[in-house]
Amino acid sequence: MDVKTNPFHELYFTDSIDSNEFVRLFSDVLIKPSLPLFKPGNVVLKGLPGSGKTMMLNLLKPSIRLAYKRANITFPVPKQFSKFIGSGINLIRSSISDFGQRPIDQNKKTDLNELSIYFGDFLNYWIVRDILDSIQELGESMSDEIGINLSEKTTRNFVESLSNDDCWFGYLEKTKNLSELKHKLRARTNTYRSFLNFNIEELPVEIKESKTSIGMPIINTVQKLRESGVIDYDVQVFVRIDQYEELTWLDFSFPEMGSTFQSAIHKLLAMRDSTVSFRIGTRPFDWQQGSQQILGTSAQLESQRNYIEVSIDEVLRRSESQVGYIFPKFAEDIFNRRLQTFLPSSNVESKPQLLNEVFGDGFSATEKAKEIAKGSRERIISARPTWPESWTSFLKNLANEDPMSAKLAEAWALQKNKSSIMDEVPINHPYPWEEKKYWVKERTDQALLQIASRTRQGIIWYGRDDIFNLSGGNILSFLSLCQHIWEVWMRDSRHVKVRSDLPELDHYIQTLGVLEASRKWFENIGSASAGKEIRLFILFIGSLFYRNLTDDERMSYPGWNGFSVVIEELESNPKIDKFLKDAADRGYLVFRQHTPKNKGNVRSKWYLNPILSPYFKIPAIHTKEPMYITIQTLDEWLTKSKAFEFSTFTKTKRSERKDPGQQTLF
Amino acid sequence: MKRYPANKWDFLGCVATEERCLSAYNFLVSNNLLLGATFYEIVDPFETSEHGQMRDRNRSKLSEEGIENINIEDHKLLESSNVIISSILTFLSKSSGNIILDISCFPKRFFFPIIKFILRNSQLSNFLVVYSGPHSYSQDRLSDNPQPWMNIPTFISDEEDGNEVSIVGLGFMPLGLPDVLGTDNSQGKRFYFMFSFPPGPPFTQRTWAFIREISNYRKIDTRELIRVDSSSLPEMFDKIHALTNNGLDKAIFAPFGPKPMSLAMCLYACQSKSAVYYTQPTSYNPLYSSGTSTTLAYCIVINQRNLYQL
Amino acid sequence: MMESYSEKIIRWASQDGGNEYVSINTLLEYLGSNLYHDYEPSFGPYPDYYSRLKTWVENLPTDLEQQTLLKLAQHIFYVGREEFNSLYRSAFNTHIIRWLIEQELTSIDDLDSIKKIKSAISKCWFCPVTDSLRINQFYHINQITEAHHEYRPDWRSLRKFGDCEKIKKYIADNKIKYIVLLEDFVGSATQSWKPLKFASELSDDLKVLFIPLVICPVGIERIDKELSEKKNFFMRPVLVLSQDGFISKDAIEGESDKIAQFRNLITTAEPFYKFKENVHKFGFEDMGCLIVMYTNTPTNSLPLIHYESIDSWSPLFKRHHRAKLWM
Repeated sequence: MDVKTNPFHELYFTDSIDSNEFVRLFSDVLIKPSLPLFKPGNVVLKGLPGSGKTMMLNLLKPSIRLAYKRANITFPVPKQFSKFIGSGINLIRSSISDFGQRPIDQNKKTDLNELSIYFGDFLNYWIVRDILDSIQELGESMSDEIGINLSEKTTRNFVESLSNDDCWFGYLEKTKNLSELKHKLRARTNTYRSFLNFNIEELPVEIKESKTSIGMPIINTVQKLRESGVIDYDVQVFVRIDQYEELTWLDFSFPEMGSTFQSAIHKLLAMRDSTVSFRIGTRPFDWQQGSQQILGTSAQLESQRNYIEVSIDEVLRRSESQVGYIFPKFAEDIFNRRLQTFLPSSNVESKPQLLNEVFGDGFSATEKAKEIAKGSRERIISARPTWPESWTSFLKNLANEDPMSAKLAEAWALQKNKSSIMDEVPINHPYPWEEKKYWVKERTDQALLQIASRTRQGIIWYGRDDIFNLSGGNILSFLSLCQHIWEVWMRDSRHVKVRSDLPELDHYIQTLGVLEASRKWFENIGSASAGKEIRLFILFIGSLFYRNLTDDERMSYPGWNGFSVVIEELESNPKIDKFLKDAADRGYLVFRQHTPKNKGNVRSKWYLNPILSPYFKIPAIHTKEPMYITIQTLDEWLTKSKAFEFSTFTKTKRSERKDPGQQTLF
Repeated sequence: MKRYPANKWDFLGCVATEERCLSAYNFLVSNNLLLGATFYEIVDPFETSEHGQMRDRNRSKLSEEGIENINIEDHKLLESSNVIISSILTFLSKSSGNIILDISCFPKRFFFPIIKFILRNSQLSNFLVVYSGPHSYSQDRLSDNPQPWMNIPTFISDEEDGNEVSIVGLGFMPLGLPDVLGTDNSQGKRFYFMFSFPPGPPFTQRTWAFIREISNYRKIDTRELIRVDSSSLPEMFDKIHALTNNGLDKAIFAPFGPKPMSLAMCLYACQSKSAVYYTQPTSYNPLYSSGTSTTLAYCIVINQRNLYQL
Repeated sequence: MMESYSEKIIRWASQDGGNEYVSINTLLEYLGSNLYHDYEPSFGPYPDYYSRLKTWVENLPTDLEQQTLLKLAQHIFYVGREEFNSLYRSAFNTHIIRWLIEQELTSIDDLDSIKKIKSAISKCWFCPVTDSLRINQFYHINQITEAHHEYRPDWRSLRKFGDCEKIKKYIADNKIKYIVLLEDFVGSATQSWKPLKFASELSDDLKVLFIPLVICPVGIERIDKELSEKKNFFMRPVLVLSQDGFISKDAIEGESDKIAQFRNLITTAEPFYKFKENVHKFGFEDMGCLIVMYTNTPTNSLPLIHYESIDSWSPLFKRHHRAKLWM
């Protein structure tokens, strides 16, 4: 086995990857849940960073389509949905977002409405050119498959029809052929870029006087492509809009500029013309229903009416009942493909349970406890002077034999109305706590945490299930864990002759790899936008959760590795609400809605991204109820952590006075 | 300065939280070399009251010790390019043609277009860029909350075709750079990473930590690491020229790392019309650095002759 | 069963602030593969850096001591082959050329400046102070063609064995105006100032420029002191080691707790690296350097980095000893 290659070295989690490798690495597990992407109609694809959203949108690209053909691999989209042309625009890289950096007329004040018209005009020309580029690219070798006809007749008819269309206000008239058409389209966007780059003094008059209305030229172009026979009538045209959420940065340059440009994009979706379908990738909270104003109106976009929402995270998330939990299949497939592509000698084709084979089944809780507390097991018991000697002795003996049971026993006896057990020390198995399966299941991870803490050892992360728990349904997290674990294995195996096809990843290798991945994840928080404040907050609550769980000797609150707050209270505080949602959108916090145990207001639960759990030494799974807190407490946490400089309530800084301490937990 | 043909200058600098923002200015004032001075005071979108207090302190030192003809302008870090350009054009219209620009505390988003427009100015006779290095940098994070990977204002290229060689400066904070290295076929692209050496410790160790961070996203071949003396502008400029096959290949730049290195990239990009990309931080540590070490002056234009021409 | 290195790191990570050790460990592993691999004394059948690191950390028995060694490893300043190439270029382009400009040009906009500088270079004799400076490398890296010299002796040897009259004749015959002496590393300059003085005393008309590539502040002080009266002597260091390049024997005001911890370790770990009487635990002349060069580790560096003893101490970067060579 090759110990020099890490099949997970490059994570490929953002915009695009090498097309030739894409076709080997892409997993079609997400195709079925994301089928609306390949059907007519606008789609908003919601997903956290690293959820696989970008990978899905990549399937729309001509370069990817062609890569499948070259590799002689069946395109993963079902045949009945694969007659389409994909095109798009990256709102940052195309420089369209630079509108507003320079006024069109130096002598006039910035007029957002006028700017949004130029924004729309640029978008039209860019997308139309990209559609034509895509058709030509695909037409060279896939004309029959997709339904493209670039004969002289069809293109001549098309060019003539399009260039004379009124929507261009004469800008494209007298265009003779496709090449000249594309040249004119490109020249216009280049002129804009040149102007925005301060290379020319003014926009030419012919541009100023022929601005197009957003969306119309795109629709007209596709209609005429069909009418002239360049594309078959049943060929769909999909347009991706990338980095939509980054437009909000423009609000810093000029108030509401970013949101105005976003409302121009909303206008495209509002057109509801099935000639062309738009696809926008966005983060879950960035796109909330009822907040997409349409430019020039007071109306807002409506889900189902103007677009369909597809949420990758919901598809991949583990539900309470585990029904429909497809992440394991997705991860297994991706893992398999990675090894096949980068380590062909590993012979993994015939291995259906590859993850199990490589990572193992892991340890049971009892085994884990024994492994963590290898020596000085008696230390896991924190005996109190008031305890009967027989009870203390029983616990210590039990600790040597079965540290998990001993830890649970200790907590059991401290529970309300259970202390009599100290006087009536049980003799035989099953002990009372061992019979309470749900009670034990809920407290297993907390018990392991306390065992590790008391013996000054690290928690063990080992086995397929642990890897899935840490991944939290996010493929990027999963790949990151694999990357680091593999890296540790390579380091350790450098001088060892590895005979087997697959690596042997013992629990030390996996634990160390997990710790490295977790640390890296935490360190990277500040590298994202709004990261500094989020990082401070996460540092605060991560440490708090650890203290909660280690100090809770009775194990009454095993779910206190998260917090819950009433949704209404949260939404009444826009600053805190936005902060938490931004953190969730960037994948650092996990959000769940829930109805509390006792009837009451609807609450939202917030946890750290599970991959951060090793860094803070807390459990990755969520059990029982999280900490119930008020918005005031949350505000206090935010100021104490220095994520917020000022309290949202008192508007004053948190003073440097001695803190009276955490709120009482028990 | 004694050997310079010009003997009176117009100064442009930046009032910031750091002590070094006034080092060059103080030297020039004490040697009676300035006709006038303009300072930008740039407010970040994410800053605390501590930032304001530290800038106020430096600002008040200006009024205590400076010359009479001094002008302080208020700016915002993410203001539109138009505001930056208008400001520099106004400065140029009033200048004597002999300009000193202090880039020590200017964000890259500002000094890149400033230099571009200074060099375009037809009345320019002599142009010096000065840089004061700090005595030490904070051990904590220096900056956070980066903007997305995008062009620095006025450094868009119309001719990008994906075949450019990418030249990246190495610094301490790889904000957003890992995302970029995993995109756009970067795996197949040519990359060079300019590693500042000298100086030595502690900068070297921090730069290696930067490299380690980004190597998780794209394997870095050690042959792609180009050591350069980051105090030598000509060395860096010539090296860039060599890396582009003596100008035959197009380049795109990512000016992370020390400002003199960014200056070399800026001068090259101005000449070659190359794109410059950056993930502009929007939050800076108020204790970014302390003290001043050496102040270096780089002659860019002498008697209307641009020394950095291709 | 003995705890493995990975187990150790995992256990350390579970402590308060322990994530730091995971970070340091991965960084050092990376440096081992990408920077330290060109360390010449470890070529041949010798463990690689990461293997040496694991053994080195376990030289000492307690967790705290081992953790301190791991942290210390991060502070080592390694000057590899590529770093030296950069120093050679910097020496020539930034320091030598600039100094020649100061000698030969009066105005910055002199239109004949390039011609004058090339002429000045042709009057230079570039030589090493000792044979550890690879003078050929300096010539090749900088593509120096203006100064042709078949003889490039090291001046330490020249001072001992050379004939002053022959040297002066060579200088006159070759119209040498400037002797440029280079050295890779200068610690305390206890010995290196002598060849410099020797060169400066050859003739008052001859200017001597000393270019140490890496030098410690005490070395600068010593050379300044010994050559203070020589008006024809000049020094232009390329890289002066800052305080971050040392663990000083005595505490310095304002230093971090980490440095104090390192100092404490160096002192208390001494029984483990059982030095001979005349070797100081902070290195030659107690300098406490943290520098390692790809060619060797100087004696000024902390012995616990390079000391080797089968019984008691495995080095991180072993040193190749040259009998009685001190710098």
